[in-house]
Amino acid sequence: MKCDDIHQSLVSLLYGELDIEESKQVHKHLKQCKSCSQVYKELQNTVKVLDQWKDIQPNFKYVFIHEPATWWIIQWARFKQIGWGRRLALGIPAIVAAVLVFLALLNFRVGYHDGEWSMAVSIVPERAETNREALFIDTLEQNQKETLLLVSQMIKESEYKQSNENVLAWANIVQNLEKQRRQDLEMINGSLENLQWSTEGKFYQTSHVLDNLIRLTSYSLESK
Amino acid sequence: MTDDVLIERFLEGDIHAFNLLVWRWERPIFNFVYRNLGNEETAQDVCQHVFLRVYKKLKTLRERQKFSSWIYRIALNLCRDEYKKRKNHRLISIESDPEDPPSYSCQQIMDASVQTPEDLCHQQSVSELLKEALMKLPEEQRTVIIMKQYQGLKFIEIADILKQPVNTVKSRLYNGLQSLRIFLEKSKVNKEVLLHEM
Repeated sequence: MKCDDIHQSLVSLLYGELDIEESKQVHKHLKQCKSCSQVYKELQNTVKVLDQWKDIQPNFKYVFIHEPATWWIIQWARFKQIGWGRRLALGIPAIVAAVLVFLALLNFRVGYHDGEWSMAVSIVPERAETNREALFIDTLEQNQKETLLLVSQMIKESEYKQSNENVLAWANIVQNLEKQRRQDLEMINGSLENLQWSTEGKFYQTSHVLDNLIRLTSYSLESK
Repeated sequence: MTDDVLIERFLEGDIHAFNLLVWRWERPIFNFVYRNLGNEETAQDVCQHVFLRVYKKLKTLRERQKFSSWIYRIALNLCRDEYKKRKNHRLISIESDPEDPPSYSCQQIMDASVQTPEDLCHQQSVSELLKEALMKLPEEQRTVIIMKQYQGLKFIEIADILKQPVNTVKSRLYNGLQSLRIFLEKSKVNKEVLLHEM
């Protein structure tokens, strides 16, 4: 037996867990090897010191009391006693029902609107309802935008049409005014011509009268 | 009445059998936890959790003859959980550097060690010193020492609880005892106390 291999045997010997043959071998080695003998003595001393830390008595006392089993615990115990086939036959519908009830409870809504209470239970998640409402609102907004665009276009068309009509009206007015002006000018022209004719006629009459007067005068003078 | 019989009766619905089991095991488990954690109040809390877990999980124990290993494994796992909770707790190996100056509490004990052995025993300084020394050991060495020295478990049982080979358990015990010896010699208590005891 070598010194390097003896450590595990030493602790076994220390706690009396070596068989007789192994024990003899270790004791034989310890008699021959002072170093290992010293180590063994030191281990023995350490164990003796450790022995001085005595157990302490806990200052508590636990008492367990059976609680009466609840209905669920009893049913669960009964469920565990039946075979796998019946477990599946009962368990799957129960789980499905539980899921449906759970979903229904999740989507259970109570509301108060216009003086009336309302309750709603739905398996469809509220999130889907919300999505549907959001989609409806989006469509409505889209329609509103399209309507506004249409009305805006109509207003523009109307304005354009109104503008054209105004231009035409103004053109008519201008045309009428020009026509009127032309007539007026023609009338003035005619009047001026008439006045010229009349003036010239009167001038000729006056001239004739003056000639006659001159002739009469000259004749009277000559007669005198 | 053996543990097997008590477990069987408890699983049949006899709560008194479980209470008998608890009363049988509360002292060894409490002392095991106390020596592992070094604090009596914490040990009491952990001990309570151990028995609550035993109460809940006992029906899952298939090999009832291994109840002893099973309950020690539960206690050990809860002790490890407790170590993790201790943020400020530091494990320092006394093997790593035996020349390190001792901590303040250790120094106090060393000061106490110059008193007579009678005084030491009277003030339970040895217990405090051993607690201090064990808390400075690495967790795996401390656990093996406690299981072997104080709980009286066989090497094969310790190996079963720790899920380690028997030789590993023996090596840890040897190294742990050597580290303790160094600490005790350093604290000048070993010989005096031994002389007193002898």
